[in-house]
Amino acid sequence: MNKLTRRALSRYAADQLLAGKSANAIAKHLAAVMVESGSMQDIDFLIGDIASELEQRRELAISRITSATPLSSELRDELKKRIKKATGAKAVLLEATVDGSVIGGIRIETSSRVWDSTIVRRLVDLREAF
Amino acid sequence: MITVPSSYFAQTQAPDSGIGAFNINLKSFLFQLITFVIVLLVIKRWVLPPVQKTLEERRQTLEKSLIQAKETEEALARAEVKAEEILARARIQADESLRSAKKTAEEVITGAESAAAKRGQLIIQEAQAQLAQEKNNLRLELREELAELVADTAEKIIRQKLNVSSDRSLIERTLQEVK
Repeated sequence: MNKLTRRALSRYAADQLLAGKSANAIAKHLAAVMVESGSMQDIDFLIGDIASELEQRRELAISRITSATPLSSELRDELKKRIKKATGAKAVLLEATVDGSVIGGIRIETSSRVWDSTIVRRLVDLREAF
Repeated sequence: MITVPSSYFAQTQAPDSGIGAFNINLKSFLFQLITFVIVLLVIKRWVLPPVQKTLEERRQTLEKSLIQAKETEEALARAEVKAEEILARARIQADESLRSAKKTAEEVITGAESAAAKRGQLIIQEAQAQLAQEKNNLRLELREELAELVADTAEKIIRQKLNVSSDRSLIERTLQEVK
């Protein structure tokens, strides 16, 4: 049996998700395939590939948000709207993280794009500019 | 004592005319002449040849010695001439060797001076390059330290000055950039 590529698996998972199949059932199926092929260490990459596939199909944009303080619901809505417009996705899923080390500002990361205006990023840029 | 008979004298007495006028006894004269001739013949036959031979040998030896002396003298003269030539050649060769050695020494000195100058130039260039490199490294280190200092200072100031309101404002500006 030929070993399935990560890209083929991610396409399969996206197809199944869009077909309305249960996420748990798809996850079990994928896990079984990866265990059999001995590539469990690539699970994080596979999740990233599935997100990328969904974003490319303009179905779902999974965005990881990092800020120093929690975002208000108003800001979250505005953020979803902006990301939806930028990616063209029908739906946006936010994975918000509060991290004081960024000092201030916000970092928005989708599977294909990154907007980073955190203070720590600007300080790094400042150091690199010298 | 020998006694001569008087008759003998009587018979041999020279007459007063002819050879007898010179008061010479003819017989005695003839006897002495014969004796002389015999002695002369004996000398000529047995004495003179060895003497002549000896004299001839001495003469030849002398001539040979003279010739040898002359030859030796000529050989000596030739040897002196040859020696002079050899000495002259040796002087010329010595002069040539001296000139060559002097020239070689000058070339060696010139070469050594040139090499030393090049080496010195190279050392100076290396030192200048090293100095420039160190200067550049110091400049980079200084810039990095300055950047670090500026960033640290900026971070401290921002941490002190940044509040919820300014953070929200910053986030909103970022949202404007999401297109």
